[in-house]
Amino acid sequence: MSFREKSAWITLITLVFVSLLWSAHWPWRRPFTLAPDSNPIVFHALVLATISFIVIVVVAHVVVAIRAPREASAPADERERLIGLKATRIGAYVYAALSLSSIFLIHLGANQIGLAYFVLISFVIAEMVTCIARIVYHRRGF
Amino acid sequence: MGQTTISNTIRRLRFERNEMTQQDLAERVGVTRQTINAIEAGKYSPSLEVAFRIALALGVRLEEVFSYESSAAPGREPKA
Repeated sequence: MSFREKSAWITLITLVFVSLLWSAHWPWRRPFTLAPDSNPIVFHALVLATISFIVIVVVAHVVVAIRAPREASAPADERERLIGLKATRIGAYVYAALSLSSIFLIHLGANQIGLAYFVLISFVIAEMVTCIARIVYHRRGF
Repeated sequence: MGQTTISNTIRRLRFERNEMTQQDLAERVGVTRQTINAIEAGKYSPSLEVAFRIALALGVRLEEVFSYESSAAPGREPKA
């Protein structure tokens, strides 16, 4: 497994992990009509999840780089660059589709805070899709 | 447009050259071992530049490493 494939796995697993942690504080009964008093709890959980994500990803990458320093320091070759571009394109489509669908949430009663969180969640989902696409391209080829 | 395949003889050529490893070839070509593995397995078609560098690293001509096949009808050139 190449360093960049490992990197995709690390990012994906960490994203899923911190998203699950954050979702424990999400108001599932009224998901996108957050009342001002419930917002601080969700926001603090988001800050904690973001910090956790950065720390876990950095530490995991450092550990992987220490175990295989040559692979980690080698620049991406043409296949890896192409995989990155193709995966990012798929993720961009997902992000665009989800972000545009936020218009429908307005008709379901979403408020400004709810819409902002929906766009953030769209970004996280798009990033997960990008990681999955990178892993699939590395595994199956194209 | 017919489905095209690019086959290669990298594995055989490596073993004929004192059992050169994928890592050795990758270092000579300037790509990762995983990319050489993907090319050998037919999962990735390299750029012309990398194809030439592989041929150079193996000390043979390009057409001895890669061959092109098309499923288009014989005698018909695939559309550009």
